[in-house]
Amino acid sequence: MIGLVDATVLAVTKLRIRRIRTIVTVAVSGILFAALVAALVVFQGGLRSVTKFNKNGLGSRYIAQATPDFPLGGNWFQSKALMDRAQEIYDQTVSDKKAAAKSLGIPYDSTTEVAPTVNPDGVATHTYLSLAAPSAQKAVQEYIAAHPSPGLPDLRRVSTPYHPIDFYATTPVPIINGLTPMDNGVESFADPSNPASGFNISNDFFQQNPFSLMPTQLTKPFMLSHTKWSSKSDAIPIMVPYATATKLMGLSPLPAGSSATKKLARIQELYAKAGDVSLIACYRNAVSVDQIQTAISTAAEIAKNKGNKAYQKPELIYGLPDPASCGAAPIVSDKRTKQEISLADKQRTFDAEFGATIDPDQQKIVFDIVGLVPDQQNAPSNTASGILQGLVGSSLAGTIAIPQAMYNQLPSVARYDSILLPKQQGFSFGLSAMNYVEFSSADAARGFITHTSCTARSNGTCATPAKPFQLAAFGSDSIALQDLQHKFSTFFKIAGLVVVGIAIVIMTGTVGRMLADSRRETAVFRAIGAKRIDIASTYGIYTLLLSGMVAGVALVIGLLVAWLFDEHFWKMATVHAQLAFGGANSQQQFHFLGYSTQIWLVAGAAVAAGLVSMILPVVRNIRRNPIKDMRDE
Amino acid sequence: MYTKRKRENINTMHKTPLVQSEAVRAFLRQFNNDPEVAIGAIRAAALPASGPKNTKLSNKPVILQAKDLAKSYKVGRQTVQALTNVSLEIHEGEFVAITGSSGSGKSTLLQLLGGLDKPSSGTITVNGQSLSGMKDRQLARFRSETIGFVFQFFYLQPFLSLQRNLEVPGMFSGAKRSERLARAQELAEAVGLADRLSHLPKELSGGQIQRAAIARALMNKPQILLADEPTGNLDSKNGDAIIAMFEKIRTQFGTTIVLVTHDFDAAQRADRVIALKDGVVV
Repeated sequence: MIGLVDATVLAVTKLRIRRIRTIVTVAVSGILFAALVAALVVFQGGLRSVTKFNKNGLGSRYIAQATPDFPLGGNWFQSKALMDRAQEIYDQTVSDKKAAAKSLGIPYDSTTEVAPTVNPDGVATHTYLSLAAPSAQKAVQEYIAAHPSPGLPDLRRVSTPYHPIDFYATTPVPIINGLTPMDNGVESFADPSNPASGFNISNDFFQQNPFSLMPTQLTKPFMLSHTKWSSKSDAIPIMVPYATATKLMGLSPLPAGSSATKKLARIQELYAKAGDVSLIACYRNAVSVDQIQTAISTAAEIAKNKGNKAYQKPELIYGLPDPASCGAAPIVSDKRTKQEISLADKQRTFDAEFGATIDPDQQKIVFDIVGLVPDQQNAPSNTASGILQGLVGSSLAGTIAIPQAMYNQLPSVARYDSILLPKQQGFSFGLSAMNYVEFSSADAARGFITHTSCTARSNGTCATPAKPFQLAAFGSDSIALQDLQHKFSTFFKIAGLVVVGIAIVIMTGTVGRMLADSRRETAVFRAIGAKRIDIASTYGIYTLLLSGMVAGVALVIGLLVAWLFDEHFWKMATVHAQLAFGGANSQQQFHFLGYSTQIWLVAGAAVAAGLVSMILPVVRNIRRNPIKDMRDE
Repeated sequence: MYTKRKRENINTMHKTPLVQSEAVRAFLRQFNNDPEVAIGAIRAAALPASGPKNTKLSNKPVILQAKDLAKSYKVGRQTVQALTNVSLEIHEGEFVAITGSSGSGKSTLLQLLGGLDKPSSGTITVNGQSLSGMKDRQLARFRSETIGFVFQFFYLQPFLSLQRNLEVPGMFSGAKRSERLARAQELAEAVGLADRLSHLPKELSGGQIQRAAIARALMNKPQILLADEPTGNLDSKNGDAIIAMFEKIRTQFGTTIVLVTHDFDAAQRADRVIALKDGVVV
């Protein structure tokens, strides 16, 4: 039998026959397999980068967020029981206030009380609970107190079969109306009733962003390595989104089309400097806010009536405090008579009796940035960025969080509690504490969410005793990531089979044509002593060389494409990853080059495709009568 | 298809007074108006078909014997009888020419003798061994070790150097590279191409290529060289050189040579001519 080296020598000559066809075959098949190689390398690289970024954020953990039903259930605003109870409270309050006013000898106008229900169009069925009415709020609070939402004990119970490893809870902070930022350390005394005064609620940080007190286990991945905060400073630690930090640092947002390099530099700047940034706010209670507003409106009225001799100034005039002080509104002029002062004192007693705040309270509060979280997803979900953010973006995106453990160290924690977590929270009953349960594996978390989450019903409710929560993956979505990995694996197998199939067809054509072209030569070889096995060996080596070239081209082009892809996209991907994942390591880069042993599988598939493509033409060829082939020539 | 030289010969001969006669024309028509074939037939008829012209060789043992050979094959729906009852004996070291017109069956006979094809009936014996009972693998070995083939169109591998081309039969017989190299050198010297071993076939002339093809056929030291129209694609000068080469090979290596040819001059230089007409020895 012909030796391997000799068969190779003869096989190499076959590659030189019909070079164009050989080149086209190698190129087309090579490009098909190269697409697989490139996809593998890019996917593996991307996945590794995702995993790396995940370790910084919450992505490597398997946490489920448990949201209880809205405490009042569906159609609560039309609940007859609630409306009846609110009406009862209203009636009782009016009756009590009438009696108290009579006793104190002060006037009381019951029409100033907000009615517990509204009926905007007069249709009986369109009667709703009035959210602004204290009586309605009280009725609701009573109901919630009597029907507490499922909490951590319930979560422990339902998650036990899935072997949870930890539980957490966050406390939502309601929007505090009297908390306003002091831009550049100065309080703005704009008139909310007069937009021309410069009042703009959208600029108000505390009106626009919901707060939460969060456990350290959830906030830790997002903490800055450098921050000026210390418990002694008594500043409230907060983690803010990138966009908020940008604003607080006095930086202009980057234009939409900014380069990835600029975006990366901005992120790194944020991580480097955000820890030195504080947000100073002025807290005022309702009385203090009222006095400031009175001072603003009185000043405006006096200015308007300047020169009007008929105009009579109010007896009690408040002035504005030093804007940098967050102080109380000083009394500028008090010309009230003793009787007026007595009446005012009685009114204060009356208000106090019915739970109203009567003394002004104000305080400068400093918030120190201690962490950064990703911005809320803003990319459309059908874009690459949106898909990435949707898949791996953190659930903390856009959240302003106060790390609970740091907060608890503050000397003024009790005072801050009274401001941030008031017992009388106004209409804030929807803000239930959020509970979390952590598992050791994605399978356990997935199983828990799939089998234990309640299903929303048409009446707006969801929970049942067995399934008291609506469950969702929390943190960077590791579960989705694993699913993506499985899906890619399946896709890769299918795509691989299709590519191998196409390559076999192409290579069978080429090998078949080459063998047909070589019939005379085969006949000559047979004439000069070649056995069938010699011919088959030679063509076998030829096919191996051909498919080896295909595999080589696939590897070279595939790796080159992957490298070019990485070169082109890594910066932008790093920006998106930094924005989507968060995490404190701003130096980390998102690359798409990842070695996978599966690329050798692709190369092997290319060779296997070649060998399969050889079988039929070679068998056909060696069975031919060499005399016929010589005669045909 | 006639070569240019042959067409010229035919034209010249047709103008001679002898060929103008009707009797001669009728005779020539039996040989497709090919005077060379006709003359070959006359010469063959004049020679004893049973023994060699060179009487010294008649004492040598018979190396190749064909008995009652017949070969038919199908072309479309028709069956073509290529050979009918052909019997011959060729002695060791003999130089035999087989002549005949196109389609007379001479190439078919050569392929049967070389074990490339199997006869429909009859037997071929080489060195006392019948080819009929040989399996495919044995036939391949027989072709590799006993037979050397030379073709009209040379069939050298265009992308291999002359050196490698000469080695090809040795590759199939499993000869060691060192032996092949030495043998190739020896043969190249024998055919006058020692200085061309590194050249590709396209860098050689037609005559040189055919000499190279002869050298390739001799790589495995065959006892019998079967040449199918080896001069058919060459001019007369190169054709003569090739025949001279066969004579030299026969002398140098003692190789038995069977030459299929149209060329009267070439056939004339053989020890014996076997003429075929319509598959029958005439």
